[in-house]
Amino acid sequence: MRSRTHSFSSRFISGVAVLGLALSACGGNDPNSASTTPATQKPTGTVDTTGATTAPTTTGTDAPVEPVKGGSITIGLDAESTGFNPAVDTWADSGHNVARAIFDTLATYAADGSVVPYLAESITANTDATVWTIKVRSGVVFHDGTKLDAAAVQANFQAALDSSVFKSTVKLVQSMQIVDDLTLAITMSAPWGSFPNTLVGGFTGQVGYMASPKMLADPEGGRHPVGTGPFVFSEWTPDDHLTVTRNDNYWQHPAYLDSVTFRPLGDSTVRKGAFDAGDTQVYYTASASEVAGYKAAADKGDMHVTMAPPASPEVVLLNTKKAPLDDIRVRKALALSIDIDRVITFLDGVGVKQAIHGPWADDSFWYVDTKYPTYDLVEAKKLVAEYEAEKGPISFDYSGNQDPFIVTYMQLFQSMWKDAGIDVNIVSKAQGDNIASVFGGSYQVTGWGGIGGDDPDNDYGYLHSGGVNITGFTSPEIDAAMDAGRALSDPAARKAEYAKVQQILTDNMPFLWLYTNQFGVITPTKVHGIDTFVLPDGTPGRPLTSARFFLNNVWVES
Amino acid sequence: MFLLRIFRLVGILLAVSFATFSMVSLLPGDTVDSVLGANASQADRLQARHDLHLDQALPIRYGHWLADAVQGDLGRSYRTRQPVVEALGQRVGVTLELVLLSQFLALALAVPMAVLSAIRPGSWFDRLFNGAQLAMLATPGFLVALALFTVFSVKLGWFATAGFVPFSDSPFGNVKSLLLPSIALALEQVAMYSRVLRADLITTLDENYIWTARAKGLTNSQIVRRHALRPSSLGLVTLAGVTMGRMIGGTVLVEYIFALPGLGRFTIDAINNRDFIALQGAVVVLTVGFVVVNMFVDVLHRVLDPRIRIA
Repeated sequence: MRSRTHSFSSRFISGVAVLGLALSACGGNDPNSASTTPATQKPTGTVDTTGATTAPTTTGTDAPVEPVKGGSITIGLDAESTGFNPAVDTWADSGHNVARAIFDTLATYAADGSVVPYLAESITANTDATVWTIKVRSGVVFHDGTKLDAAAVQANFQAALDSSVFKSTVKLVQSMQIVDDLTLAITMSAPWGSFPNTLVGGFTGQVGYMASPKMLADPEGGRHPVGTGPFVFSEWTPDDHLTVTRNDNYWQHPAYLDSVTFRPLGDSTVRKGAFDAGDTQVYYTASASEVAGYKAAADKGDMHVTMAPPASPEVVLLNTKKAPLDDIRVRKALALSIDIDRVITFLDGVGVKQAIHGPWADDSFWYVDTKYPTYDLVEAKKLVAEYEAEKGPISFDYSGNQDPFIVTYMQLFQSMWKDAGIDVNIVSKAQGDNIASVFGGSYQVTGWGGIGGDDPDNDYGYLHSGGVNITGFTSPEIDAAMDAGRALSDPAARKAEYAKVQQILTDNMPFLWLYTNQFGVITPTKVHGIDTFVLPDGTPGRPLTSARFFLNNVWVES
Repeated sequence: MFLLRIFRLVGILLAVSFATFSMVSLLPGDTVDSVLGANASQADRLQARHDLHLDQALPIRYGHWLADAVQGDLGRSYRTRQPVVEALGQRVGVTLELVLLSQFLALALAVPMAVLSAIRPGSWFDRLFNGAQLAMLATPGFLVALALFTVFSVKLGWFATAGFVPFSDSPFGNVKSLLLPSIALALEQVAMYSRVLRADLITTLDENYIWTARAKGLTNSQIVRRHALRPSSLGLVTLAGVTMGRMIGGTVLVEYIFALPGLGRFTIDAINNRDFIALQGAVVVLTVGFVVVNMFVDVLHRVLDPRIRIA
């Protein structure tokens, strides 16, 4: 489940505990030497799993200027993390941004959204994707001097398997065997074609971040993180700041910045104020008005604004085991009476939130048009009348947390459903209670985040009957398609399977699909490179995922 | 007498810490959700519950905690696994400095205002101060904090928007990093202190011995300094002592807005995350602080008014 303390969904309930690049054997990662770095072919069997396909867009980019080494920046984070052990601590986008400075992941996203090896030299599968072989790059050392080898990778997987939080992510891992100094073979209990997706440190979890085995063995390790990344952990005063300094022995081209300080600034007004005052140099937001304001500044050459691909879908969960939601007419009437444009306007999201019509955004590689219903109040009223003539008035509890803004948001849905003749009783509870009621199956309707948006296999637990099944809806056809999609490697073949899933979900509507969020990452004109991420072979990687960025190529004008 | 006070302090600490333990267990939500996330399996949740002693009866859990606490071990935060003593050590100084600076600012503004008002009740500056004090009382601290933040940090750029500079790093930077939050915290107290002291001063200035002093030709300034201020400040001192507790509460929002790593923010984070081991530690520190301040106020009463000492 995604931990997104900054996002609307996490404020809502979202199940939050509340939660790009390629390969070369020894290529440098200097964006200026990209043309001279020999490209290396992708290893056989590397899965090309296309996720979000929209590349980040940048406005306000100046004419190319030569990067300079040196300088420091401060970044305001929207949340503090509990620690930085990738096998123990669950991170929001803020935590991932720190982690990306200190750790590298085994795989990452190329610019087109495909997953490619990164710290690994190759990630290859046998024909039925039951045995995956990870070969890491030679000559890479952790910040504490420990060598990155097969044993270190094994230690990281073992830590995930031992982790009560993350073992579900790697539950198909059956055994591991060290093939040679740099190569680890992982045998799965079932075919797992999309396995590399779990290694990017994206929404799928944190298993791909490689931490020093010594750090993993240290109960205090999460407070002194040790990775192989472009920056070395320096100091951390929780709730105040965390500082990293450049890793001059980085296995790629060293970063430009001398140091980076991350400051948790939980209040969005304060975080924006700190950026506007020049006290921080990177700001990220999913607010449409803020993005528009900064884009206007960027057009005048006062800012750089980089837009991330749409991500983070928001949905409404319907408990299909509870009346009246056990009737498809009611579920469909609810979908038909949601005016999504009104919702997006209410959230100040025009231009940064896009309506979705399935678990994957309309511009995603995985999306297929299943004729998911759009706003049609007349049709909704017809369904309501039909149901009520047969079974009586429709009413249910709509639960969410106690945040006043969330209550107002829920009132918007209440009024839209009321327009269709449906009575909704808003129930505000503590977030923990809401989560418990969802997993305990006692809720009727609630908001949720963290389903869909990325590789479909990430939603296996939500959609397969063997998973958590929070809507109570199961389907043998979905089970078969999810199993098949997991086992296959060919993106087109996988897409065909997930198309079946999307159609069944539209036909049965256990979820009401709402919108995705799109983040803008803003930097002053003197700060460059947040929109750049170069793979070891010199080809472009995906610099932004949601509000997560890389600092490898960031530099400041002197 | 001193020993009696210590016994009282221990009694209060036991009562407050047990009450906190009990109240936290009544809060909705589950600590295990905060520790493991909502996706953890039932088996893992049970194991975590066992590991954290959450499967034990409340008095037994409290007993375990108390046995460790008397040895100086306040446990480890469920959420961050940081030793609570260490976490508190990092934060107590920030909040203490913030509260003391706020008190200093509040008194530095309130006393002159009260004296000027009391000497000439009903004068134009008395009415002006009265209006200003009403405005201070009516304006919530967080609003003052946001306004100060927006004007002086964001618009004018005179102060950093966030962060704390330790005194050891830069004494000037330290005061600068705390000045705006201290003002935000102090303004409401200024109004209260000033009004209490003004009222007491006006009463005192009507005493016979003051009229005697006037008859002897002493100036207003001499009368206030030598004869009126000290006996009139008992109410102010009591109020200042009691207000320390309120101010510590007020630090939660101010520390949040100015991103200060203090005890208030730590406490609210602990509550939000059901991290009651961290919360217990914070409550112990706050309780000790509150009791010590009130002991200090009692002592000050005796210094200010010898009649209390004799009684």
